[in-house]
Amino acid sequence: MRNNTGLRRLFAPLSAIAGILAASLCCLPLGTFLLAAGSGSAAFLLPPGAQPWLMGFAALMLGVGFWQTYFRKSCRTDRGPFSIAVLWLATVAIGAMWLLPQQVAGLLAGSGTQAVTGGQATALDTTEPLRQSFNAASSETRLIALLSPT
Amino acid sequence: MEKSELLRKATGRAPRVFIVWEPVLDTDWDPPNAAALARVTARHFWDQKKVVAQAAQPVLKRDLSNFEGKARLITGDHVWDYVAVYPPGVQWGAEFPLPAASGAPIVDIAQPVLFHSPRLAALW
Repeated sequence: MRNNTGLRRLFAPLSAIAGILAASLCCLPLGTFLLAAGSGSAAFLLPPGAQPWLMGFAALMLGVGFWQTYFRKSCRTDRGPFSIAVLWLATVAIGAMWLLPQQVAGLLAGSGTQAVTGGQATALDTTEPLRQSFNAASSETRLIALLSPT
Repeated sequence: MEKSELLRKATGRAPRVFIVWEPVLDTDWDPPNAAALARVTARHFWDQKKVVAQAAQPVLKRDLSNFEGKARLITGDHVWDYVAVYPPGVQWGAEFPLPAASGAPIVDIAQPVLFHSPRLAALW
């Protein structure tokens, strides 16, 4: 009895997810585009290990969206201007996340999207500014990290 | 010593942090924006020409004894995703100073380097 209840509890959300996927794969390309765009955006908010998977999933969903919109004939998918606009908007958004990850991350970070070269981040032409700062703090424990912005 | 005790001591005597941002991907045109930089209490530098990595690499390659993690991140094309820790008294003279402990990539190595290195444990 307990096992049956547990199975039912598991089955209900799984069937709901399967239903949503089935509907989106057949007749609701909008859902596919939103899944694609949502995965791309979530890739910037979740831990780094999840990013390649989510971006891959976004690419897959975009592919499905294009197939539904331009190639699939059996399902009579609505190819109205709105759904095509959403498809291309999702494509541009995900393309921007791939090609310009730092700029997109900056926009998602909120205020202060301008770069701060010469402001809070000191531009280096030589190691001298870093060397001077490092030596000036020689009475303390110091940590130097070399990082890329993305 | 327990990690929590090390953390407590580290918090009470936080190290001075210098973060050198350097372009690795072709789209790394700028350092992170002001909002992102403001979240980290550190002195930030933007090293577009990778002068720090160029200065550090030969020194770090010579002596990997204090290094933990993926050596290719310091022996490859350039040094990146790398952290080095220096005790008080170390000076940067003619060449990049050899750290007391270091590691890469930072996401994997920061905690062991900062809190489990025997040489650093004495500092906190």
